[in-house]
Amino acid sequence: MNKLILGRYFPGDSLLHCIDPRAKLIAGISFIFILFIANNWLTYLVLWLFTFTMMKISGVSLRIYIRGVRPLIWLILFTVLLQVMFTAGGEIYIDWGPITISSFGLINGVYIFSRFAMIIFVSTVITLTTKPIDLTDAINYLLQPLKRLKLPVDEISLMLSVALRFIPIILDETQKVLDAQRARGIVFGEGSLLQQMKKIVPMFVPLFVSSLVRAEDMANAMEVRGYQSNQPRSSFRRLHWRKGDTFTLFAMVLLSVILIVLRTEGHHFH
Amino acid sequence: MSTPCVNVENVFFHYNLQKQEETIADLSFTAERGEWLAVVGHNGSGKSTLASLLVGLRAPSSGSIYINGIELTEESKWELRSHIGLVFQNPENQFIGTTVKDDVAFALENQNMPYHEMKQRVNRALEMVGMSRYADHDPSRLSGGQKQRVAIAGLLALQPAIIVLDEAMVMLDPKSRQEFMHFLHDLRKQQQLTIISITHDMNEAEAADRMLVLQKGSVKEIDRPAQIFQREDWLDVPFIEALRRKLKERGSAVPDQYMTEQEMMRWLCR
Repeated sequence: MNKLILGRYFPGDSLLHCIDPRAKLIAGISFIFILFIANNWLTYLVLWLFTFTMMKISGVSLRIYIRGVRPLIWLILFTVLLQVMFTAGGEIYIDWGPITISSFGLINGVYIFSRFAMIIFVSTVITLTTKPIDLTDAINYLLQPLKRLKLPVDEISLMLSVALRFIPIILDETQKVLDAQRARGIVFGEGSLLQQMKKIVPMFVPLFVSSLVRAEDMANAMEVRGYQSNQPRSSFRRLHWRKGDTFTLFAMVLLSVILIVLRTEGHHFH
Repeated sequence: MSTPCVNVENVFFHYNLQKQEETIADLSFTAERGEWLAVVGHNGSGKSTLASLLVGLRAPSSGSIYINGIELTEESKWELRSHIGLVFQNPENQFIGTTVKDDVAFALENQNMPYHEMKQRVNRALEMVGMSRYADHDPSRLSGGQKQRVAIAGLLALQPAIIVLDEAMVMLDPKSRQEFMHFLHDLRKQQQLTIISITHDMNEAEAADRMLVLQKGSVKEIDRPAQIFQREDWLDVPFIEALRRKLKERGSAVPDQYMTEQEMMRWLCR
């Protein structure tokens, strides 16, 4: 459970921690689009510089970011491999029928890898420096226009925040059930794969039952405390947009301008 | 006499529609404004069901409940929810907010209350229960007693006219339970609060104005605690009454009626 870095919050007081979650969210999403402006070594270098600066400012050690990439590394490598093998052009090093390894392919592979890694790093920067609940608030705020399309935005964000609150509780519960099973003599992590899987089954039943009980209790508690969907609610948590947040967005505009200037016209490789 | 604050009239309720077994059978009682009514009874006597009926979580199969003279129905329950609050037995599953103060504010948000008023009320409620220091903590990481304090704070912030406590103080240590009792008694005097407290703790019940003994879903007795403790020998009596009975068994010339702590002290120190 501790391996999951994406979506975890690291408390701190870095510059990035203080930025409004809405600004961070917009910046993060725009970064993904900005990535596609880059098309030569120089532009990718600028993007990597930007990414590393952000990681440095966040004050979280590099090790943690690398751990964040690790679960996705096979997917990334697979995509890179496909790119390398099926892109033709430039100097050809190996030619096995449809599979060729060319200089264009290698360069493309490096670009693709960079894109993936940077997207993961930057989104990890955001989740590591923003409390999940603040992110939920930001999502709620940014989705507000969709209310006109009769989308239940407030309900969705309440659901998100309740779900977030339940993650640690369910993890604790899992641990309790595991301990209870251990106390009854089950040894986890032993035997063949099939045997191990069988041992997991009796864990799910109590987990499901307790989750359902919790859900009902919580629904009751919400009802007693006067929660009604489709009713106007005020909000106790508040987001404050400051000058620094506008600067953040401005920095993203600047970044894209720099990239557009440095970008090569057409599709050349250098 | 003016209209009673809570008026329960011939209420019936059963969970299982196939069985005829009634959880609540022909239950009638009233509670006056500013009264502290303790509800006691064995496990399965219908105490918690009564609590959920009072706040409109379940609808009686027949009979009616009036809160401040208004009948509790599907339509009126939302409006009545700001008059009557319930603290559940299990504090674990009633938290909705990700921090203590967010959770206390939940009921207020539902009332669509302006931010400044919410802030005042939340701070005040947390002060009342002595949890101000924990305002930014995660409620699920608190101890049982602290959780119950937060749950009570959530109720106090709403400033209801009627409070239903469903064994809401079982996880508090004896000292803080004492403090809480005093605190609630004071609050009741100040604000003419009606308290219906469901409890197993006879010392808590003893401090009530009246005591309702629930048996198989109907009122076995409703009277002043002193009277009831004297008559009902199956009840786990408060310490002083137990002492009086012990003394009597030993052949002391203790008075035959129920005594308060002071009376007993005076008698012993004669």
